[in-house]
Amino acid sequence: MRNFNKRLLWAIAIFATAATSGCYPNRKGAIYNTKSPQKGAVVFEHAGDTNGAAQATMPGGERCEGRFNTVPDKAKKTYDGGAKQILEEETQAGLLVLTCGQAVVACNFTRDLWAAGYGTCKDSRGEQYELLFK
Amino acid sequence: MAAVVALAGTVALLGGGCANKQSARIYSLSSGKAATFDVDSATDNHGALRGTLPSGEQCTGDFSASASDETRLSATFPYPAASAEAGVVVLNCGAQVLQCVLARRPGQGFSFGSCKDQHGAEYAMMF
Repeated sequence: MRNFNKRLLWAIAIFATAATSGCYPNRKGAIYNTKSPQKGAVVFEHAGDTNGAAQATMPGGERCEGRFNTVPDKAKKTYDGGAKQILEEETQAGLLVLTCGQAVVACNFTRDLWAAGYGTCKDSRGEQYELLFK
Repeated sequence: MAAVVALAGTVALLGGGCANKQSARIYSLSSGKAATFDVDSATDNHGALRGTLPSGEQCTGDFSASASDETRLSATFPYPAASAEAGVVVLNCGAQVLQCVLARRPGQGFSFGSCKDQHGAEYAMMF
């Protein structure tokens, strides 16, 4: 009986890990320098979540880490007792902030239900970039 | 029984307080440096902020929020956020004054924001 309980607990733990880590896959994007033909890469972890971690390599080769967060744009809503509730966020506006050594990159973006979209970025050195999700 | 009621009350108070308080990182888009801000009553229509600018100045301020302030959000962020709420903030930081717009889901804490000081220096805020 004790062995059965132990196996059940392991099964629950493995299922929970798979469920939480596998629901929302990572989403890749490209970061383009708008003044020179250079391209970098960004990965949004668990991209279907409303917020999360991100890693990037800037067009110049700098490695960056940061976070993204979103708010709803177009949404399916219901009015429950007068209070507005969002059923589904069809599109979102978001902000990604990356720290790249001594520099900071901030990207505003828009994306849809499948985490596809685009954005514009600027860094603390005055450079501008375009962000395109793949 | 009284102890159980007291414990439940304490848990409810602590839980309520924590849920309504948020911390944010503010990033200078001029210097690349970051600092931390705290927001009280983050899910309410108005509340207080306090923190430090990346340059070291201490700041205090207030926010006031309204539902689906698309005009304000569109003026601040390049992409529309029609189903979000906007919180307008004024921060007094010694000789500096920052105006910020924060965005959030209805009934929830803030997600991110954008600020500008009186000289035009820009900041990004991430919750």
